[in-house]
Amino acid sequence: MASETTLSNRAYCKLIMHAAKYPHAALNGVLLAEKRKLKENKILRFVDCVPLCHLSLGLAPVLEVALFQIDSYCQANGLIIAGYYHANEHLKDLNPSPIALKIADKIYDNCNEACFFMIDNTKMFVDCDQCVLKHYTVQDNKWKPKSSNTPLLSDDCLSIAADLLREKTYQDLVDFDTHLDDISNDWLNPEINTHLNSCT
Amino acid sequence: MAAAISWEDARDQLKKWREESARRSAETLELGEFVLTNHRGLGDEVWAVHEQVCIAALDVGDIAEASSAIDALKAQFPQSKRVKRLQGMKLEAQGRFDDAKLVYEELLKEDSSNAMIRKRLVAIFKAQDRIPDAIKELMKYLESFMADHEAWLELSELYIQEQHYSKAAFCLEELIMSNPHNHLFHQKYAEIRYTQGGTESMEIARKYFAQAVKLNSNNIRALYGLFLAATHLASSQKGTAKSKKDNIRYAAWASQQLQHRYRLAERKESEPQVQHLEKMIDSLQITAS
Repeated sequence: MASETTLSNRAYCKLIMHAAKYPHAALNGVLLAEKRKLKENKILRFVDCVPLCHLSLGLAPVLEVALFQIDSYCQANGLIIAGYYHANEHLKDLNPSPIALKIADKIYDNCNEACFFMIDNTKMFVDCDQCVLKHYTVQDNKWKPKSSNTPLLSDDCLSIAADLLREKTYQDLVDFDTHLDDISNDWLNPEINTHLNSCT
Repeated sequence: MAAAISWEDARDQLKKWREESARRSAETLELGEFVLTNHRGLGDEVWAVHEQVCIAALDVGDIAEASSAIDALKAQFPQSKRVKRLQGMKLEAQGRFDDAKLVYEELLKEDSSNAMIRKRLVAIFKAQDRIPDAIKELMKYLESFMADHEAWLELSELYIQEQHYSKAAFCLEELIMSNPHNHLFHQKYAEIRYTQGGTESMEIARKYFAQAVKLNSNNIRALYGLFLAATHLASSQKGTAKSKKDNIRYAAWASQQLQHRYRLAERKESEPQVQHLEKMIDSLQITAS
């Protein structure tokens, strides 16, 4: 298990924007970590996020296509798919669904330091006063909530996320489902990345 | 946003979303409030906007806004069942599911063929996270309203959530029979069969992905599906030499089509996404040979 886990502002803000864009739907995505940091120092540093689906999470083809291509992007950029996030459709349901666990298992097969996050819908507010993630790691071959409360985010991350939600930047966020509807939509969200770089 | 566009544009936008039944609740609410500041200009359309704003307000949890819309509608149409339905939906939004159910059951006593109300009963189960009950209620609904495509699609989604893929596939079979020319139903059916896995399902998936592409050659999901399913079949141990050869050909055709479409869509300023597609195709071809 990784000794330390953090999310960059870019990773967390994209994740939050994905959840904000589709408040009525179940959704998921993957988090990309720096491969070298993970290998040498066992530090899981998520530097980017690729939102996947908000339509039909339980079907394999879209997921396979997305993971193949994201993996290709990772290999070219010294990254690795090492995290998965999932939000349920139901507001108060924070339990990982069987489908979420299956996908998390796949990510774990890809990287045995991987972890996964459930989004707590009840903590989603425009003010972003707290981190909405519930952190799961593999302990004794099972996904279990991580007990320690070490902060995942940098100090200014939540206030930047709040600004983005107020500006409604999330309306331009592209996930893999939107990419497949119109392939000129780039799932790496270059415009949002540029915007985020100017915020930090 | 409301300040940036003219009143006429806002009105037309709302009308468009109404017709498409788009679920853009936060924006609908914002535009609706703006449009209603000049309700005289709307004429009789004002009632439709009130209803639209009410549902959007309930969706984002703005009970006060919804109540004022319901009051306005109730004053105009005191006996309307459509307004009573909105009152039921308000109870739902407040989490008072049993009270909402009473309202709907009362309405169904008067007219048991009211499809909108019957669907609310399904929605209540969904809101309570009782998916198996929602499935039962929706099946009861489909016994009387067999031609409701959206309901069949919703049932298939619920089955997928519960991972009952063969039942989800059955819903799509119904839809394909009544709409043999809709490429989306073929694509969805193929996606379900692909997820089920196994050689037989995979062959069916490949055929239906191919049919979806034939009906609409720009269906990217179907092209990817055709590529994946054919690649799987080509690399499986079971197939005959001929079927392997055919599947390699299908996969090659689908990958060409995909590459072509990605090149057309490419934008100059960003990193070309086609490279990731090509790498994916390459990595899969190694396993196929």
